[in-house]
Amino acid sequence: MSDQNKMMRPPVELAYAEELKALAENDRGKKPIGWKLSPKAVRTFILGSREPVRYSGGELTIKKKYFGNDALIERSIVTLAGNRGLMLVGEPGTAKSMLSELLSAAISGVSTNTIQGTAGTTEDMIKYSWNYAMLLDRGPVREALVPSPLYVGMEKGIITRFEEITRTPAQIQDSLISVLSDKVLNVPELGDGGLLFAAQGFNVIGTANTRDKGVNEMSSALKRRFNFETVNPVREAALEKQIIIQEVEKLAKENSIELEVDEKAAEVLASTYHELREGISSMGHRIDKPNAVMSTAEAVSVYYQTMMSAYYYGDGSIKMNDLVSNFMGAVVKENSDDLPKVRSYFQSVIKDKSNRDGGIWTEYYEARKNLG
Amino acid sequence: MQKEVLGLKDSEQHITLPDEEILKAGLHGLVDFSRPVFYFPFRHHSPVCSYFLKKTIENYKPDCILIEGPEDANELKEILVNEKLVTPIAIYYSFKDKDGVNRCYYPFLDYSPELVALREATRLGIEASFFDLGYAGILHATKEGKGLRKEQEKVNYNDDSYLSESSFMRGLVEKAGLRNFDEFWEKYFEIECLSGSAEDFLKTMLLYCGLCRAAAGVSELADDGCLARESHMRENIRKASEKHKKILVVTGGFHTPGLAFEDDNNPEADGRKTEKKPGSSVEDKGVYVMSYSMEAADALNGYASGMPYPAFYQSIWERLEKGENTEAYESVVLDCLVRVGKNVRAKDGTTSTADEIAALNMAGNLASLRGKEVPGAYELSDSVLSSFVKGEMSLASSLPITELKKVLTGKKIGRLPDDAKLPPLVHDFEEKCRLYRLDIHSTVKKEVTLQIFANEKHRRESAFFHSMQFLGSEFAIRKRGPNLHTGVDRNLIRETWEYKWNTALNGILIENSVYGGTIEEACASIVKKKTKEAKDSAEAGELLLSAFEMGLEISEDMIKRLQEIVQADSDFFSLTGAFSSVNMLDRLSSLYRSEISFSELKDTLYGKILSLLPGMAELRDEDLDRTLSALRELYYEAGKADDTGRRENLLEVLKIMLSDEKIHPGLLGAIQGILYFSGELGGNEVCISAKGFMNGTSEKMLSTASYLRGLFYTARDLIFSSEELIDMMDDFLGEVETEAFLRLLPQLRLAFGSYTPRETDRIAEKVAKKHGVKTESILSKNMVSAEGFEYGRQLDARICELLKNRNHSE
Repeated sequence: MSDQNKMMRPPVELAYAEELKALAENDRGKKPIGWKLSPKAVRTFILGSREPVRYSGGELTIKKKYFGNDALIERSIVTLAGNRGLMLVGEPGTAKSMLSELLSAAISGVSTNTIQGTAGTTEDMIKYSWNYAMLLDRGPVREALVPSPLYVGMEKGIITRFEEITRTPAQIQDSLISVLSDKVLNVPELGDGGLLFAAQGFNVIGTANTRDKGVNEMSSALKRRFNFETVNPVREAALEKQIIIQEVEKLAKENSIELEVDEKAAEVLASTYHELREGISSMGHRIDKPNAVMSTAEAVSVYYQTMMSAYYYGDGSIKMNDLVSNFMGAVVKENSDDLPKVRSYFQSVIKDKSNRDGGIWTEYYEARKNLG
Repeated sequence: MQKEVLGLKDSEQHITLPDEEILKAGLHGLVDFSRPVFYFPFRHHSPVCSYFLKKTIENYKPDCILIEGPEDANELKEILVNEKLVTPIAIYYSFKDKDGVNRCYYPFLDYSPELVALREATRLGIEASFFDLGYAGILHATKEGKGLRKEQEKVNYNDDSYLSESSFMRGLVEKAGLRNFDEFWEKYFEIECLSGSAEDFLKTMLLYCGLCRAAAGVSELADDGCLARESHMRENIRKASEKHKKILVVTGGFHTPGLAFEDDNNPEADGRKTEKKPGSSVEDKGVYVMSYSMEAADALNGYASGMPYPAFYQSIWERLEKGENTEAYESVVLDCLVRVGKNVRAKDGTTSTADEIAALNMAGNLASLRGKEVPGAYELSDSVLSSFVKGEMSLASSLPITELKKVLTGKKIGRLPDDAKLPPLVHDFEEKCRLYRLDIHSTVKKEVTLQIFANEKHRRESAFFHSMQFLGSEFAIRKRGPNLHTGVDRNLIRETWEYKWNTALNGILIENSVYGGTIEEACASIVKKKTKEAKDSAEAGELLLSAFEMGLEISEDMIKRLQEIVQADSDFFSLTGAFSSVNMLDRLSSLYRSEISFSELKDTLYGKILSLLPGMAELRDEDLDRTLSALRELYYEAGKADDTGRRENLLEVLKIMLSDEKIHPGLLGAIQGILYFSGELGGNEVCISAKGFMNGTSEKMLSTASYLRGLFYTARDLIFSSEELIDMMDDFLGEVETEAFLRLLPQLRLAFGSYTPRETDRIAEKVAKKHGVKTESILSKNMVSAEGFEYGRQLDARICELLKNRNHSE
């Protein structure tokens, strides 16, 4: 535990080590070769258990970690047990990366075997590179080879995560094709022993952002090697509120901020994000949608920022003024055209809610002066 | 299954569940083939129920089968078991009472237990009949707004919401971790029961029905006529047991506990009996078999008639009939995957065999992850979504999903044997013709003139003709009358129609009979369907107008749907099209005595059009006409409601547009006209602008005519109030080169097209005076004598003939 406390953000397999242990001890389902848990246990790990699970460390209830579409989780698990990779696509902030971490932690016990796709990603980073000092000294031997996460995944039979795959140039993405279809990686420098056959349990989870669509479109040859899952934003405001609270609590715990989450404030924020994303308010107003990403993850970060300033600089209670200025910062960072839209949202929707419900809504409405 | 149901705690359901053992003992006692009355519970449109129904008939060997269904339909039994009948079909009931006509549908598919029972009975020579209260009796026992008296488009007799929509069921579905009741049903009944014995199925089914019954409120049952119906059915069972030794009672599972355990002598049952049956004469009621469509039978289309995916379960049923068991699901899933793959390939060529293999694997593995023995419709959908859809799920990539939906629903339309009674729609047509005294017994053209505003009956008759036109029949053609769609002849107060019966008419009516039992109902369903599918707001607006012409009630729903389409539409012309339709409706609604408010819709349209207007500045020549008329309509509307600030908004936008350098000259003219008209722009300024065109460089000069056309379109009286403009035009036309004049001429003609002949004469007079020419000499010049005209006409005809002959001879 002491190690975990030093980490800013422990990986999933450490954060939920107890849950994984409990599930493994109780797991009686058939496991695909190379998997740490059976598909059913993976499902329970992500979607939670209704009843507490008894294990050697006592008893615990598996928390629900992903909200939204249960069938999507089931499809993803089945895909990973098959011979195609899993590609999670969706708007930014829809918990694609979190889902990919949860899946690889549950299936392989590791969520850190990751390639981060960027415009500068090269084929070496995907396949392998060399420790040149050793290469010069000893020639092309296995010890001189620096394996990439993909190489490690194949060697150990674990999941390799490829984040933001569409940020990577198309020709580099395509180096995945042969690995995914033949499950073999050739290292010609190593001679006859240079064929790395993927161990059972290997697979790839890619994530791609729909905002990047068209930047580096995936080739259809590569697309064919993946099953696609579209991760949609949460469609219910109540669920969104629940996610904000749960995520903020987690962040606060990780950073030792001892503050309770203000449910009312979370609700205000959740409904704001929800309404601006859907283009219609709970009272029926039609709303101009801002161009900025209105994701739940953004809402979490706005709330968390507000919470931090309350903790360090304020009296510990969430101030609407801070919330609104953080919110504005988050919305306007991409596009200044959004500001009038947000202003008129406050002028109409929030004003009406303030008139109807008063309380926090009135405070929220009055804080609109922070919109700049 | 049982563990799941009974593992559920009371607190999770907000109901008190009866003691498990007592319930079990009582219900399971019913599964005894030596009983004189054997109750078979089913869910409507369920293959597994039909499968075990056949087995039960085999084991029990009844000498009489009583089937849930209004007894009025007994006369139709022969048609229903006719070998030439092709499902889907529906029994259509109608009954006229003091509140108007009530109708309901009772759809049947090959795997509907009711139809299976009838067919088996015929095959084995067993007496069978429907034994529920007649339709009129049910209506009599039902409270307003409940059961078959619900206000909805189509009311289904076999609505099984009791088995699927209780809070108890919702809790159960959630606990099982499934999406909805239909998935629950498929998993635990359709698939899981299939491999067991009939006794096991019956026990499970009875327990489930007993629990649903326990979860329902008694008052609810009384309100929707359920108790009265059951009382009647019990009475019929009693009567039948006097004659028969082994009676098989086949009803929806929800009624089974009621039929088997409740007693009419029970004091609780007071008031349940129908005191007296309403006197119903033959004219008041109609019972017909009509063809139905798979689409309408699909519960997902909102008719709540049972299970979703009729084509999928039809294939399952066909395989069960061939002796297959749960393996039927595996092969149907594979079949569907291959068909979807093939259809997608044919359309955009992306799905490969590898995808089909991946999808099949996905379906099988999902089934085992979800604890299902074999994959069902839900695993099929998931596997198509996961393996066939490439890239982000969006409108562009959703082809596989749309194709899958088509495959699951099916396109089949039922067919009736030739000797069946004609569908109700045909009867309704004949009835209406009788009402309006239209002759449909000859194929001679007839003409009627209708006073649509003065006479209510004529108004309805006109609506009838419009409806017939809408249905695509050539029965009636309007010769004269106001055309709401084009706005032509709006001043007319009479309509003249020509009608003629033709042979294709019955075919068209039969074809459309799946949409409803009466002309109004059929048209309303089609309008609704088309509105749902409408591509843009103009189309939806036209539909609204048509609905209005047909005298259909324009519902809030339709207006809401149009709102949605408008919200998503960003095409200027489509929006202005919808705007003029809605305006027309709004203007007419008082004239035609209707009370619908379009103001919100108009506001939305107005706002959207205004926001798109500035982008129209650089329009193409061919769009000028439409834009000008849209502009005039906008201005007209803006002027009507000045309190909402619409006028200011419009003028503001127009002023902004004036500063656009690339604006189309015609549009510029029209905008200046409007601004002049509303006092925002002086006549002087307009003249300066006009002069700018006339004195402009070559291209600009050539667009003078187009500019004038726009100007005259919106400000017709400018030419009469400003001498300067005429002077300017006169000078301009005097100076312009012949070649340029010829190029200007077509647009100039259009420009003066805004004036009536009398007005052009006035203009000509002014010009004549200016040149010192006597008005008579120019005005009479163009007169063509009758002889001259006749000569020209004959000459024309002769030339045509000569040319024709020459073509033939060569």
